[in-house]
Amino acid sequence: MEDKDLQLQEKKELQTKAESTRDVPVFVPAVDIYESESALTVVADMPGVSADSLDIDLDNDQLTIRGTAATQESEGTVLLQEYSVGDYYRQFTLSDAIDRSKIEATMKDGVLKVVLPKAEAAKPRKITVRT
Amino acid sequence: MFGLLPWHKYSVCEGDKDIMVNVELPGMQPGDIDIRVDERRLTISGEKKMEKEEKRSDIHIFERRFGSFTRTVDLPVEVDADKVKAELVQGVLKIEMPKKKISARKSIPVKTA
Repeated sequence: MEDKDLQLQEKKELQTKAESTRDVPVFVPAVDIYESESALTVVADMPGVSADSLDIDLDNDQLTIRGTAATQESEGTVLLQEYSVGDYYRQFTLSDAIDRSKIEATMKDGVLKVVLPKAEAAKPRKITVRT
Repeated sequence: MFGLLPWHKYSVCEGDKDIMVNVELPGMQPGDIDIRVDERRLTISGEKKMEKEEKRSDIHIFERRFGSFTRTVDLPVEVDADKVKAELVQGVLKIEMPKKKISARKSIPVKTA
């Protein structure tokens, strides 16, 4: 794996697509997507977002996650402001092999985890060989 | 050296009575964060651990950062280390540091000879 720790991670600001009725910047959350035998898991860093301010939409094969981060009060003089607070938005295209009725999402400590179980047909199956 | 460059960013504000510091640290537990206040310096260090998951067979995207970090910020005034409060809310670390009360300044009259 490359030297990930040496890079300063910038919050990526989204250029288009996400309509925002509020005047806040929209960011693309950093995600990890990994696959096991039974499911696909999407983990997204969305600090400041609670389960109530999260929207997960599944529309045909598009999975959209959108979260609103709680504003961080800054009264007084700002001495250092290295990031801004805004919404998070990201879209994924799912394959047919997901069992849509069993998708589960949890939000904890600003991290969203969406587990997308594979449809039965897509799971690797052991074929027993009869003698 | 690895781990010294921070992947998290700070927000520091100075109010009348205290200095507020916010740091976005999603997925971290209070036990993994170490906060030190020393005269006019605040040092935050810790380690973000990967979630222990069932065996992952394939990693498609791996953007989130992990590992240990440490960072020190200089404060404009001295803060009262005993009264510093820190809270981790939805992955945002909020630190409130009350400023040390400066004894009232005395004005010195100038006498003419």
